[in-house]
Amino acid sequence: MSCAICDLVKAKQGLLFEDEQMVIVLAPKPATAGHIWLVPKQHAAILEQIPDFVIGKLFDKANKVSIAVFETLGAEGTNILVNNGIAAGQTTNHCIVNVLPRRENDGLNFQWQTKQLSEEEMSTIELKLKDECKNIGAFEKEKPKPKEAPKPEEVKAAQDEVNYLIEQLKRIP
Amino acid sequence: MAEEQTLSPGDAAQAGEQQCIFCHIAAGRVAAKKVYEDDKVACVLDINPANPGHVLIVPKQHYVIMPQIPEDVLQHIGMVAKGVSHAQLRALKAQGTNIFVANGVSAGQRAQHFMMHVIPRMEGDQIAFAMPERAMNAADVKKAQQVLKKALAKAMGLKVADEPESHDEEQTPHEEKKTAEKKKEAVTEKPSPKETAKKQQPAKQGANLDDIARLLGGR
Repeated sequence: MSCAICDLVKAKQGLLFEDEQMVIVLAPKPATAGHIWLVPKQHAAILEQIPDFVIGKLFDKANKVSIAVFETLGAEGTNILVNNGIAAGQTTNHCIVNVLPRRENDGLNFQWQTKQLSEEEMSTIELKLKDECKNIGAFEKEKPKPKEAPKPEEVKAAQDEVNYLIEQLKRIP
Repeated sequence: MAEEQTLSPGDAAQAGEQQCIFCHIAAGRVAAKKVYEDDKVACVLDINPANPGHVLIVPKQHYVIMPQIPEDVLQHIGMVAKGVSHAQLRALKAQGTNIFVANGVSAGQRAQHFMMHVIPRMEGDQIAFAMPERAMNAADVKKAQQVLKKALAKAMGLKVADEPESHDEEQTPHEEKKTAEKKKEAVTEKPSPKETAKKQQPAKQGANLDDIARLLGGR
């Protein structure tokens, strides 16, 4: 099935930035003036399908986008928002990180009603989540990086260095 | 605890950190329901959750606003957010998650310590993260694209030199039209001398960020 967002990535409509992992584009239908999308290039329907290091980069770039927005659009704040899953309000078939420039009285309201939970309920949730969160930590690091940019000279230089170190080791009696 | 009433300006920043409840929570000095922790962040249950299982990812270092956070820490926070989201889907049978940052007072930031929200979602739970869709005319899109492209490159520390019209600011007859266009842009965005300065020294954080931080502190 074709994905409208993948098409948008290819078309580079409203493109602001591009690297190997993502494009940063103006949202085609902005919620606020200057609404920006950070879109991973590789198709991923939900956040969980995006490699860890790409997510790291997406959020880092979202910060850079916010800085750019502060300095040019006169925004006083930004919301960074991922709607992950239909129940969370996701409307596209491709996971997107939204950066929404905010101004006073811009008509947008992301405030939520807080729920009151009993101590017992909180503790149950804590235990359940804590158990599952044990799996956090073995992050998929950006190992592709040396592979992605295999400039022949660099690779050779790296190899030379390794060889040099090995030679040094051999010298030790 | 007997605290001094008068603070020298130098101590004020430190005092802010000492009074920051989220610094205390992240360091474990204040009791909280911690679901994950490592050397950079602590993840705790929000005591006023939007939904049961609402998690706050709190950096251990005190950062008031997002632009102050170093790249590696922010990347780490993002990756932890994915992990927390995944945990919520599995452990709480959530049907979706929202990852949300309120960056600045007008974006709804209340605390003087940066945090990222990860909120488990269920169908029909009445939480509104829906974004209205507004139409934009092509001219506005083009203009926003031009301005933002430059500012974003600057924020990322990239060179802005590859812009076709950025080679010379001097007004030669055949360039008059271009410059006029540029001026129009400059009127709405910023004075053109600033733009020239920007091209010469790209990766430098603007003073505006401090203003935003101050704005937050003022409340």
